[in-house]
Amino acid sequence: MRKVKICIFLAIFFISAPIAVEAVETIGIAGCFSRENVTNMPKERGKLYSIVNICLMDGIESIPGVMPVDLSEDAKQARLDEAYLGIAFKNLESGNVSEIVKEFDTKPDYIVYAYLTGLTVTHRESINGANMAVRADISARILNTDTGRVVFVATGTGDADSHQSSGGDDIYIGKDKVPMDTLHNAIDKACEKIQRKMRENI
Amino acid sequence: MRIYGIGAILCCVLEIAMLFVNCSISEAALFNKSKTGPAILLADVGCYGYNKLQDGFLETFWEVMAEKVQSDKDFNCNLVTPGAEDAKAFKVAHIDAIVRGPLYERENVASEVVRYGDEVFGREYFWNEKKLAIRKEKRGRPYFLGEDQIITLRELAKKYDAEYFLFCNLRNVDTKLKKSIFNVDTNYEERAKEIRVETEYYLIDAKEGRVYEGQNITGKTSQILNIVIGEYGKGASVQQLMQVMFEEQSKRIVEDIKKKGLKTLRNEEISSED
Repeated sequence: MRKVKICIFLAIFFISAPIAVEAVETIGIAGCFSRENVTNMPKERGKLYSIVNICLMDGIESIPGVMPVDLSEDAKQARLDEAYLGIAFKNLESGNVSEIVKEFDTKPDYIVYAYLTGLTVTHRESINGANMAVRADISARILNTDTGRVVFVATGTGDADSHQSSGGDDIYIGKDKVPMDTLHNAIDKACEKIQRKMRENI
Repeated sequence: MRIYGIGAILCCVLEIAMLFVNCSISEAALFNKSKTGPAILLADVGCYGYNKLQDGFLETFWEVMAEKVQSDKDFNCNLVTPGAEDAKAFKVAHIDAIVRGPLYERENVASEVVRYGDEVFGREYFWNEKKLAIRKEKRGRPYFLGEDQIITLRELAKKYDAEYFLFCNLRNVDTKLKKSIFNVDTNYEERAKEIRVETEYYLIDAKEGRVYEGQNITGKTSQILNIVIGEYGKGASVQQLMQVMFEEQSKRIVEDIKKKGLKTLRNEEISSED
């Protein structure tokens, strides 16, 4: 009996060992920027950026072998400042040493910087009457914190129609008053495309 | 039974310890799909035309371009954004490639390029029409960079593990609003009617310093506008037009490099079907 028990124990140990050994990479999202050539940004930029962050975070959870990590507000701000000052992407200055600050409260293996490269409203006429279509262009750069190199770049675009919205808050994009739902949908679609590209290349 | 219990606990502790050790030792290795093919580094994307383009547009173009090269299975793309010193070295190499190319026109380029060209060739060279005519006949053939640039590029190639460098120059971007022409620098006009984009791209063999020069001009606005109107409706903004143009340009550039650029640099025959 003892031998059998030992065999069972060993079998369980060796089966479970590879599961435990499988490495999980952590990804943190630094935040969102907008390029200066995006002209008709709404006044509530914070709202817009938080939508992008949430949408990107949502899909990353479902990618196998990847674990999203929440960065604290200070760490996020510091990362964004690094990118704004051009430290984050201008690495490899001296040999192979990255210049970005590695150690904050939680150090993820990868950091995602998202950029809003375009946000436009177009007026359309359809069977449902006149409606507006919002289009969002988002691009993301993924940076390896160990080496400081940009590992992956992905762009995504999303379209959404205003007649699909269920009412609620409105937001001004340029002169046009657009339902918040529509903007959310457009950004969500763009983020989904980026995540799909990430999943294909992992 | 106690012994078994203690053994089980010890094993669990060991397993947990292994997990932590493995996590800490294993390097981050996502997005590292092994690819066969030439290692290409997208070294510099710039605007060296008569009018300067906003930096924001150039960065988006870098992203679109990098994505296209990266997602192509035939290339082994290295996405490095060089540091300030190396970026300057790449910029000088880019300008050198522009100046020595047969497509170089002294009238339609940025002042820094004009100054560099005058330094290299001397001003009289550009008044001598015979020499310029000979130069224009050399279109499509690869040429060499300056000796200093070849040496610096060899060193940079070792540093970045690259066989080829790719430089893109968005030389001319024009959007026309009804009848008034305006520059992209202005932020106020939103709706555009016409667009014309000229890009030049230089593929450089890092070892020998040979350059393949290519040019892309999309001046037929009706074709582009059809795409834009089909996708976004009538009131397309400048941003949308630019996005479409960038995607179209990057697609063409990558195709041309695959079909012609690499083959000419390797002295392979280009089949007539291409």
